[in-house]
Amino acid sequence: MGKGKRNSVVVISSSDDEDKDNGFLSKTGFRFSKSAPTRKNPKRAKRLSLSSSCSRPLQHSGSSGFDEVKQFCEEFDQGFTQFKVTSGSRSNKDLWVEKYKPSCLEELAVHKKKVEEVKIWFEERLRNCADSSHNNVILISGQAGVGKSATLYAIACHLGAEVHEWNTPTPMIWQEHLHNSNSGMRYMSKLDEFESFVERTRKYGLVSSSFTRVSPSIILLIDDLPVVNGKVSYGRLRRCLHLLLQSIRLPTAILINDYSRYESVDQHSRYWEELQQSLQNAGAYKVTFNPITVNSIKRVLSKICRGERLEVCDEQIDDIAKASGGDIRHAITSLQYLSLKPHPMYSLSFPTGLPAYPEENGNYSGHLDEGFFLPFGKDATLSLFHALGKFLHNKREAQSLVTSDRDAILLKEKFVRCPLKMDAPELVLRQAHGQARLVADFLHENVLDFLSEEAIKDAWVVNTYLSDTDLLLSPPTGGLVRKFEAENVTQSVAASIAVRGVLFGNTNPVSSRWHAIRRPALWQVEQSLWHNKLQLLSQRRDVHASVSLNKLSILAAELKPALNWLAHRVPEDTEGEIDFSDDEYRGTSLDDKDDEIDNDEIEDCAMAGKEYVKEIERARRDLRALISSKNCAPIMLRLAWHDAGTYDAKTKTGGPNGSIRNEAEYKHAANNGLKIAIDLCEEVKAKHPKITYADLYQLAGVVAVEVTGGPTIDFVPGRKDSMVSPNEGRLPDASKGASHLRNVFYRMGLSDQDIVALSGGHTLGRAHRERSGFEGPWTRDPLKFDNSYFVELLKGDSEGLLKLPTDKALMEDPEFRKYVNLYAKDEEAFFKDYAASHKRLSELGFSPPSFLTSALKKTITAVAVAATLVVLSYICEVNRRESE
Amino acid sequence: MLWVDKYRPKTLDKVLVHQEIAQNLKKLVTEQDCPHLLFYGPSGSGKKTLIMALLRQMFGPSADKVKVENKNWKVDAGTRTIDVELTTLSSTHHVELNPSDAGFQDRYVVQEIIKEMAKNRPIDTKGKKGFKVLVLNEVDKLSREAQHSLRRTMEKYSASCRLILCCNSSSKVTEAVRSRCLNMRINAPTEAEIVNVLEFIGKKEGLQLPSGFANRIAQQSNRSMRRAILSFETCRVQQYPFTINQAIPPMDWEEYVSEIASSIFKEQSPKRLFEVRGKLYELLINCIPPEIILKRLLYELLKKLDSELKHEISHWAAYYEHRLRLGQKAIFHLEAFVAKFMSIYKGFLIETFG
Repeated sequence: MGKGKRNSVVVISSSDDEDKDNGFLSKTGFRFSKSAPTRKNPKRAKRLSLSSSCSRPLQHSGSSGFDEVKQFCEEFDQGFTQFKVTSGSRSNKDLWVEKYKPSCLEELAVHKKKVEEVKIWFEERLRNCADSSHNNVILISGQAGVGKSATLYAIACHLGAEVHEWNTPTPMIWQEHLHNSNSGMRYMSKLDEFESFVERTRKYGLVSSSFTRVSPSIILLIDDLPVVNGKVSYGRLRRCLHLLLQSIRLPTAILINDYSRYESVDQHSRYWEELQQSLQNAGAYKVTFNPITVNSIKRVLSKICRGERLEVCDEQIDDIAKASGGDIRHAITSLQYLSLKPHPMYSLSFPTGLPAYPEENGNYSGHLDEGFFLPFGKDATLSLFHALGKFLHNKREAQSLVTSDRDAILLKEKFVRCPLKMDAPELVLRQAHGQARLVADFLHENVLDFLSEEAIKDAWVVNTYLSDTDLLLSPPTGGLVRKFEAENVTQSVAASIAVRGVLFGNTNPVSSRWHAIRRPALWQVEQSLWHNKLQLLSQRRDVHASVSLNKLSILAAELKPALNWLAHRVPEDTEGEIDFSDDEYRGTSLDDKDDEIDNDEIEDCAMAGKEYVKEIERARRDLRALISSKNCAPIMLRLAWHDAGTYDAKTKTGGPNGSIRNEAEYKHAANNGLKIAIDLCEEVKAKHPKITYADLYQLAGVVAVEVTGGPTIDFVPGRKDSMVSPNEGRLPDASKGASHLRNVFYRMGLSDQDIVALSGGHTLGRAHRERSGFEGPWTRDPLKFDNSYFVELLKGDSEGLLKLPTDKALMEDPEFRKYVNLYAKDEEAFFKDYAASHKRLSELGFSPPSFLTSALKKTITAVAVAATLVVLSYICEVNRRESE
Repeated sequence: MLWVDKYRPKTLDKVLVHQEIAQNLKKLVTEQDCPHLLFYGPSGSGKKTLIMALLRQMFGPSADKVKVENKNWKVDAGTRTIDVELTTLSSTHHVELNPSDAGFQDRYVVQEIIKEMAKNRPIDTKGKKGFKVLVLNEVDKLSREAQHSLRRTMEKYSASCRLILCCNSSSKVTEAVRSRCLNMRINAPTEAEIVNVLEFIGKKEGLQLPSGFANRIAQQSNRSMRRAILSFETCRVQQYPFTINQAIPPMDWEEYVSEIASSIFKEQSPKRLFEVRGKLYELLINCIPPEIILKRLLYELLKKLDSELKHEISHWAAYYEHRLRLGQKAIFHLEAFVAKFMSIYKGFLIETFG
C-alpha cells in the first residue's frame, strides 16, 4: 500500500438516466492511494450527484472499511442489474461473461493440453457409447472460474453433442420448511434430490421420451454437487456417486470446485479430497484445471476490449488479470465494471485535464502504481502471503524517531521498538482478510526462520504471544450459548495479538533474504492425529479385547508402546508357549483351579481344532475330486442350500445342522432327489468320519461353487450335527412370489440382497419335472457358475430356458430388480456378494468356536491357492469337452 | 494377551492389592442393595479391576461375557435429532462406555443411555437384582452440563439402574454427583504391593526373579500397577533369564522425550527450537497426550538441571500446562515452554560461564 492514505476519495456516482437520481446507485469506494485516478464523465459533470460526497477520512481502527467495500459491491450489483435493464441503447447489453462465452475450442483460455485431454476422453466415449465397459465418468476439478463448464460446452459443441445438465433444484431452506411444514410439503434436501435423480437414471436410463429424438450423442453434466455436512450425508453422497459411476452409460462430467487449500483444513475439504480419491479409484477419470494464467486472461480481456471498442490501457488489463487470481469469469466481470462509466472512451483515460477536486489534483497525477487498490480485487490468499511476509520480515525504520509528543507513554528501554515501515498491522490484516486462526498458524510455522540465530529470548516472547492467541481462540468452555459478536471481537483481538506479538518479539530481525513461507505443518499433524486416534480406537476393539475399555491416553502412552515392543521382539510368542507345567504353584496360588482347567481345556480344544481343520482340508480335496468327476455340483449346492435354508432366526431351530439326512426330512417335497447327493456325501463321510455331517454338506456346497468357476467362499468349520428335523414348508416355494420369498428369507435373518444373490445360485443345474415339477435349465451352461442367470433374467423369456415364478418375482420387485441389474452388469459384484451371502447362509445359527479360528488362518491362504488351481484345471477340462 | 489383562484378578477374592476394599465391596453387594459408586484414584491403581471384579461378584460369570460394539444413538433434542456414535462394552447385566469420547454431546449420551437401560429393565426370576449397571469412565472429563444431567437421571432411574463412575480426580466431579455416590478412593499401590504382584506373576509364569529385580521395576513404575506389569513383560521379552542389573526398557516415547531434552540442553537457538517442534509433532501424532509429554519433558529436564533453576522451570511448566488445558492447539504452549526453558537456560549459562 502506498504510504499516504490520507483521504478516501468518493467515487462519484451519477444517475444513469437523467431524471432519476437512484438509477445508478451511489457507490462509495475507497482508494487507498494518492495516485488513483478518478474516472468521471466530463459531459455529465454538471449533473453529478454527489450522493455521498463527504470525503471521509479512512479510519484505521474501525472495521468499517471492509463493510464499505462489501456494501459497495452490493451496490455495484444493483447498479449493474439496473444498468442491464434500462440501457437498451448501449452496445453492451449483456453480461460479458455470457456474451463472450467461448463457443469453440480455440476461444478457450484454458490450457490447450487440458482441453485436448478432456476432448479426447469425450471423443472416445462418444464413439463407442454402446460399449458400457468403460467408465463413463470424468471428474473435472479446479477452482471457481477456470472455465470448467465452458470447456465442456465448447467441446460438446465441437463434437456435436448435446449437453444435458442436472438441473439443480432450488434448495429448500430449513426455516422455510418449518414455515411450510403445516401445509404438508415434504422437506427435500438437495442431497435427497440428487439421490433420487441418480436412482432414476439408474432405473430408467437418462433416455426419457424427449431425448429419444435423433440426438446423436448426449453428455450429462453434473455441476452442482450437493453440499454435505457430516459423516452420514457424506456417505450418502459417496454411495450415490458410486452408483452413478457404475450405472451411467452416457459420458458424464462431474465438476468439482476445489476450494483453496490454504483456506481451511476442516472436515469439509478433507471429505472432498477423499471423495475425489475414491471416485478415481472406482475408475473415474480426473482432470484438474489450473488457474488460468495471467497471460491468457490478458489475451481474452484485450479481445473483449477490441470487440467492445474499448480503450483500456494494458496496465489496467494487467492489473485486472493479476487481481483475478486465475478466475476468468471474475476478470471479465471486472472489466465490464471498469467500462461501466457512461462514456468509456473518456472514463478510462486519465482525468488529467478535468480535475473535479482541484485541491487534491496533485494526488491524482500519477499512473496506476502498486498502491492502486482495485475494489474488485480477488486475491485474498495472495495478499495474505503478502501480509505474512510483512509481519515476518518486520521491516522498521533505521532509528527510532524522537517522539516529541508529551503525552506519549514513556516506555522502558527494552520495550521500545522502532516504528514500523508499514501500516498498522490490523489494517494490513483487514486488507488481507486474514482470519485469526489462519494467521496464527502461519506465523507459528514460519516465525522461527525469521529470528536471528542467537535470539532465543525473542523466540520465547513470540511463542508466548502465540500461546496467548491460542487461548483467545479456543472456544469458551461452559457457556451454552455462543455469542457470535463477542467471538468476533476475540477473533480480531487474537489476530492482532498474534501479529503484534510477532512484530514486537522479533527485536533484531535478520536482514531480509528470501524465505519460502511454509504451509503450517500443524494441519498435517492434526490430520494424522485424527486418523491415528480413530485407528487406535478401532484397535481397542480388536486387540485389547479385554474386559474393559481403556482410555485413549493409556492406550497410546502405555499399552501401545508395550505391544510394539513385544511384537517387535518376538513375533511368534503367543499363549501356546507359556508353560503351565509348574505344578507346584497350582495348589498354592489362591484358588485359580478353574482358570487352569479352562486353559488346559482350551489347549486341548486347540489341538483338536487343528486336527479337525486338517481333516476338513482333506475332505475338501476328496469332494473336489468327486464333484468334478461326477459333475454333481448343482445338486451338492442344492443339498447345502436345503439343509441350511430351514433356519428360523426366532426359534433358532433348523439351519445347517445335517438334519437333512433324516429320512423324514429328505422326504419333504422340496427335497425331492436330494437323496442322491446325500448318498454321494456318505462316501466322503466314510473316509473322514470325524467331520460332522453339517460341516460336510456345507463344505460340499462351497466346493461346488468353487469348482464350477464361482467365487471362493470362506468356510469356517465347527457346525454341530442334529437329528431334529424341522417341519415341512420352511424352504421357499418356487411357485410363489416376492412376498413369499421375503417371508422365508427374513425368517432366516437374511436380507433382500441375499435373496437376489442366492437366487443367482440357479445358474448351476436345471430343474427336473420329477423333482420340483418344473423342467429345464436356467442358463445356457448349467455347469458354469457365472452371472448369466441374471443376464438371462433381464433378457426375458427365451426358448428352452426356465423361469420360475420366484425368478420372475426378482424382476418385478423394484428392490430386487436393483440388484438383478447390478449383478447382470457386474459379475464381480455378484461373486463378491454371493460369497458373502452364501457364507451367511451356511452359518445360520452358528458361531465359529474361537479355538478354530487361529488354526484356520494359516490354512486359508494355502486353500485359496489350491482352489484356484483346481478351478482353472476344471474350466480347462470343461472347455476341452465342449470343443470336442 | 498382555499380562496386564491375563493376570487381572477376576473376582474380589483374588485381588492382591486393596484387599480390604475388595472385601468391603463384597459385603456391600452380597448383604444389601448396591448404591451408586464413584471410584477415583490415580491411573494404574486398580479401579477398573475392582469394578470388573465387583460386577462379577454381583452377576456371576455371565458378567465376563462381554461384547464390544459401536452403537449409534439418535437423540431427540428439541428441534433436531443428533446422531451420537460411541463404542460400548456390554454384557447382559452391564454397559460400559466412555461418554467423554462423544465430546460436547456427552450429556445426550448420558441421558439417553440411562433412559434406554431403564426402559428394558431385566427381570430376575426372584425379582431381585432387577437392575443393570452402567459403568462410566472418565467422569472427570465430562462437561458440566453432562454432569448435571447425570445427577438428574441418577435420581430418576435409580430403581432400575446403578451407576459406577470411574475417574482420576474426584475434584472435577460436581459435588452433587459425588454426594449421590458412595465414594471409593483407590490409592496407588505401594511399591511393596507391586513387588508382591510381580512376584506372583513371576511364579505363575515360572520365571526366576533375581532379588531386587522386582523392586527396581516397582520403583520405576511410578506406583502404577499397569506400568509395572507392562515393563515386567517387556523385560521378560527383552532378556531372560533376568540379570540383576538388567536395564528396564523405557517406553519408546519416553526415550524420545529424553532425546528431546538432551537436544535442548545442547543448543538453545530458534533453529533448535524448530527441530524440537518437529519432534513434538511426532509425539503428538502418535496420540501421546500433550499433558503427559510436558510432564515427562519437565522430568527429563529437571534431571540434569542446576538446582538453582529448578524452581523457576517448574513454575513455567505449570504455567504452560495450565494454558495447554485451556487452549486448543497444544503445540503452541509446548513450544512456548521449550522456548522459555531455552531462554532461561541460556541466560544462566552465560551468567555462570561468561
